[in-house]
Amino acid sequence: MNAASGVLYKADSQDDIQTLVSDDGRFKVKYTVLLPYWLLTNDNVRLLYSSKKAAAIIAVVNGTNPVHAQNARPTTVSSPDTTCPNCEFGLYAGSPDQYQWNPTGTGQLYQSYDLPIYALNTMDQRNTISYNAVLQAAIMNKVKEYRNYPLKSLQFNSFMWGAQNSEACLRKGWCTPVGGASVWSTPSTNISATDNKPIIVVSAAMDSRSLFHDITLGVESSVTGMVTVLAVAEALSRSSIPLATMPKHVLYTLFTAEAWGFSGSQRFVNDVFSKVECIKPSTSGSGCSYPFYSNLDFQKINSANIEAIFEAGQIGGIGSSSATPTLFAHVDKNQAGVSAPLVKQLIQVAGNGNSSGNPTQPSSQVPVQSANADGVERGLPPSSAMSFLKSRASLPAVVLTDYQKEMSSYTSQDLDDTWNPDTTVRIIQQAASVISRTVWLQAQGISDAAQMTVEQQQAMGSIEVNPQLVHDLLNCLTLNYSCPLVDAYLNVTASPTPPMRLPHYSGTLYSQSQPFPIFAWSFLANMTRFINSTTNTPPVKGCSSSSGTVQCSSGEYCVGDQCIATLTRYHDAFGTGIGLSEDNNYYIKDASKPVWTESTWDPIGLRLFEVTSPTAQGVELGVGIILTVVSAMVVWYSKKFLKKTLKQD
Amino acid sequence: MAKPIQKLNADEILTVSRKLFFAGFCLLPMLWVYNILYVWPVRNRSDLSPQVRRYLMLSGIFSIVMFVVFLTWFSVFINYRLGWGATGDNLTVVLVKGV
Repeated sequence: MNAASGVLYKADSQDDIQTLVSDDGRFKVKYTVLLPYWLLTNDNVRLLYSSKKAAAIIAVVNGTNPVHAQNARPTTVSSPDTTCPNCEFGLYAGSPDQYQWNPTGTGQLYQSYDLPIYALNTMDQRNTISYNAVLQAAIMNKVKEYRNYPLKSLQFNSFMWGAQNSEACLRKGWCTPVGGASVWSTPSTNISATDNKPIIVVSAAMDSRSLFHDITLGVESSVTGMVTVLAVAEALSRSSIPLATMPKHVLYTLFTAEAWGFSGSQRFVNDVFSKVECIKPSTSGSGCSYPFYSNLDFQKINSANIEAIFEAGQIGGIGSSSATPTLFAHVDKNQAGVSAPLVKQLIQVAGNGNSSGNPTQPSSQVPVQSANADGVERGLPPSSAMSFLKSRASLPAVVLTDYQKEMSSYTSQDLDDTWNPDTTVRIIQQAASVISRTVWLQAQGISDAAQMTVEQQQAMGSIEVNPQLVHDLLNCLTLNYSCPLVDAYLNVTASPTPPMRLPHYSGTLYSQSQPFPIFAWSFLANMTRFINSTTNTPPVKGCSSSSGTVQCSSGEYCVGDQCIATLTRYHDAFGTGIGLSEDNNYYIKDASKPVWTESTWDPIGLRLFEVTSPTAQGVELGVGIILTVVSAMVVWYSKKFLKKTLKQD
Repeated sequence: MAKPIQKLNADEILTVSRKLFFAGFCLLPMLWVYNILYVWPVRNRSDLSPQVRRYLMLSGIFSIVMFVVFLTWFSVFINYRLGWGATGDNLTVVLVKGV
């Protein structure tokens, strides 16, 4: 495919696009149309394509940099996702009366365009340089009214290898399954498949999607849920009654590739709920060569023992339709009775926010409600819990979100990159607080918080969610990955270019470029680490590579410069429709399940240069042809002449 | 380098033409085309055996038949190989990226 190139055309409004496409004879060449992100609608792209005036489109997605933030942020945002994201892989797939959670979704994510579309975002210094150069050139062209040549032209280079479908692309090795590593963790380091202890799952997704790969942050779409689970783990780690000693296990799960057909949770559930048989054991001793598993510790989780699921969905209150922030507890409509006690307890715990008698505890300003309190059974919104319920329909599950009827308009949006330092933190704190206390009660088998003893009430007071931690996690996981919190675990500031804003777009399997599961693993490992209450020996310090002298004993991990024992593991996440053969080739096992893959591509290039007018180019070509013909004639005549002269001699 | 055909005598031309014609059956249809091109300048020489004209005629027919066969296969392959899945990939020497 040829590199797309065209004269820069600056479209600031719908009128500017109309001017270009309603050819008045002024626009003679192909243009690269520079437009603000909100003009990048399906209709506009189709319009530009059919007018044959556009060679490429470049959308200015306004960066989170406040210097550039004023001009392009639209007042209304619509989600580019479908009206029911991923529902075709959900619990109610195929059901005719499926509730549409994202009714204003444009479905643009699934459109395919025969036109290259790029984005410019001023999210860091390098991108700002490109942004400024392109914008300046476009303004210059506009001043020259696209008539006074030379004009600035922009050329793009980006070649995608993949074509046809996932099956063909995987076979040729040009695509990689969309996925990465999910993380699961439990404070019960002694959990076993035969201990018959019930398991309570606390879950969220770790990644999201949007139109532009590298811009995706998905603050509301996924980061808020992930932060909630991490905050729950932190709060519960401070319980004065150690979680590992409780009659039930707590299991934290953070799933990857959820934005693409709940791939992470479906694969985890498949592996945990089915008896995985290792045909070819691994030579290194841990895990299995075929079918491939880096570790088999998930077999310690007995699916029959899973007793409840608490999931944090969209929780930041960003782009939410409700005026006052409220948390809604969603349950499956087919087994609402089974999950009702969980909802009841969540509401009770939320209402009892002040009863702990702790003066530092902020009042529970964010109320928790049952999502079906209005009498409408919508069922579960798109969530990882659906994957569990697909395997066992009677499993009590609650999904906590900030919406009752409609997902945020920022769902899968490129502009889903900011949060409110007050409201967002407050809602997440409340959600994490309610979930952690409910889980804490459940794990001890206390079904009615009012029946607690005084000691238990005091102990529950120790479960507190720190708003500063919520704030820091939000900040670290969105705009500043080099923050002290992450740095303490991963020593990121040692890098010559400390990472700041990193994309949350679902990655590809084994691509080594997914920092968030690594952070989630470290954080959860630290929160769920095994504490020997009898000897109470402090962990060995100084094991990180910078000092390199201290080696952790076997079975221990070096987390944040400390040697700790933990049952925190990665679990491969990729579409359950994709299989990995014994000779390490991916193939399509079941095309009705998620089989998302991503193509390999050549490096993306951008070149800005000046072009002369079509007339000038025509004259240049004409002169060139004339010169060629003339020189050919000169050669022919001289040859003839010389032949003659030489003969005469 | 082949000797200029004009310098060969009639018997030699017949031998060459026959060899090229039969060699064409060893999956080398281009030899039939070569046969015609090589013998073409002397095709009307009076001392030539009528056999030579027959070999040329058959070479011509067979090369046209083979051309049609290859053309058909090529168009079928180009248009349908992507639909043949793994078989199509195995029949392709250089896989084209992006299609």
